Amino acid sequence: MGKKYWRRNLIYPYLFILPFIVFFMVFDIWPIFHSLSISFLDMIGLGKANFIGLGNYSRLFSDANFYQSLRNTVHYVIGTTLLQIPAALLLALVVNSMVLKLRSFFRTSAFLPVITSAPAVSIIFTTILDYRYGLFNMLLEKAGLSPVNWLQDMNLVMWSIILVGVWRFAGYNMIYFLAGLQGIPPELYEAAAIDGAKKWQLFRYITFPCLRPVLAFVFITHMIGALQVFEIPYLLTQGGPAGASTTINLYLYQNAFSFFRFGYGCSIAYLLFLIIFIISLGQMKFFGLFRREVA
Amino acid sequence: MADKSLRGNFSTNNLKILMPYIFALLLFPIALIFLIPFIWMVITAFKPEAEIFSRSFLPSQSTGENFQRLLEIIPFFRCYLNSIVVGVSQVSLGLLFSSLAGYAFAKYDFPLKSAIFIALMATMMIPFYVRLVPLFILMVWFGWVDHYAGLIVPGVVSVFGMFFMRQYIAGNVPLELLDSGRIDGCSEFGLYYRLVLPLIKPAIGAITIFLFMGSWNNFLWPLIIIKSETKFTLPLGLANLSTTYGLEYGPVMAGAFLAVVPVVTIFLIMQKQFVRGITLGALKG
Repeated sequence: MGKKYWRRNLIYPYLFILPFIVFFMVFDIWPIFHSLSISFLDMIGLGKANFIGLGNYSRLFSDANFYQSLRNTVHYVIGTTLLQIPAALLLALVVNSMVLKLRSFFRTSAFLPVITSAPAVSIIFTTILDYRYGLFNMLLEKAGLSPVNWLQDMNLVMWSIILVGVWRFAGYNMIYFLAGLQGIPPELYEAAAIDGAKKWQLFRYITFPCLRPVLAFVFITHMIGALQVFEIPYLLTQGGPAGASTTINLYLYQNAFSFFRFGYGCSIAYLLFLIIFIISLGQMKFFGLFRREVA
Repeated sequence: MADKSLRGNFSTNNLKILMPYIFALLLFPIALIFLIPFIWMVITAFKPEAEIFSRSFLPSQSTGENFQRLLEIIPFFRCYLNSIVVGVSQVSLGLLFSSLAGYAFAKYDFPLKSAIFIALMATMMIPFYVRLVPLFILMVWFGWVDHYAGLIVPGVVSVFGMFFMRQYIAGNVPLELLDSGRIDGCSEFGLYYRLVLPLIKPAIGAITIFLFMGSWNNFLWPLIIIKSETKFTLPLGLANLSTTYGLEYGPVMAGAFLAVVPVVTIFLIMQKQFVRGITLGALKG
């Protein structure tokens, strides 16, 4: 087929991507850039706004409430990473060692919280963590222990949020570990077993190294997601008591949509994006370097 | 004696078969960690009001009064209907756009192709929260605040869906088939409609359930764009229910129960596609 055919048909791929690209430009690309320019304005509501350069950003650095939300978010990221990823890995190892029928029962149970909407989760946990009538305190009392103020204690509230987060997303990470485990060729285990390797050694020298790419993926995506935590603190505690569970995105939401500080809100969003970007790059480098060292 | 040894053999064999089940029984509490909140939800939803605050786990009898009260205090089925309308329109438009674009990226060569593709993928890294304020401003300009259009249209494009389609089409639609279609005089759009679409049915299944769950559970965007109760989606209705009637545990839990049941049912039926969707799309990337 000659040049003519090629030219006549060159239009089709562009036609095929056109609807996607048009919507993408309007609802993705334009807002991304416009958000950056708003972050340089003292924009409140839709009224007239002035250019203030990095004014919003410098204000952020002296905003005690922002620091508190940053601390709470870091607390959430570290807490969920330390609890959720090992839990998910353990869960995957357990499920993977089961006979097929039971495997699907366990996998489904762990995955149910993932497909439940945040408001439903928050309703359920409001009644579980309630101080006077909640399930947890009911059980504590029956065990002869004193009740705990899960959602109103300033030192405890982030841990309660972490608990809900881990419950919600451990099954999600488990799915990736399961897929990774099933991708390991069984010959590796058979060969090692012939060489007399112990169970622990199988895990240390076969399972763990083979899972490293999945582990890297889960670490990075979990961190990106956890840094953006919003729904559960918004619904369960409204960021309280006294801002003790206000996360960065909740602070952004409050500024942008309770006080209509659009400029300030956009600067929070871009700062968070910057943090996510830098940490993701760092993690990718960490896992990449790690791998080269082994090979 | 013979009888005894026979029985001994029988039981050791049985033990080997039963071992995994015994193992699972010991691990059953792990599954319960995930299930107990749901069990608690079901129990509370059917508990008589007087017993909810009486600190007993199981009710003496089950009742439908919580569901009656729920339907009195909020237009719950209206929320249901809204969620279905939003979900169906977002998924069908999203499927059309992403399969067309995915097909073009998988099977055509054209100037700027990789530049466009890389730009698309790069935006996946940018949090939605960055776009929140400008998107809202855009909705004000369009006059779409508190309208179905504002609820549906901004969520139609899914880069993940497009990427998934591209991967699937690249791996499952042979170029020779498309070329033979061309020789037979099929138009380029005809190739997409008659050859590509039938071949990518599994991908369509996976993306459908993935996009639908996302739309069904989406909370943040409806929270920002919708003001009037008649346009509430299910998550918004539930959130409103718990802030306004939070002290009435029974009806609130009944609402959560009704919202969770359809998603869980769909998930149980289409579990395989869903899990394939999230793992395939991610691990290949």
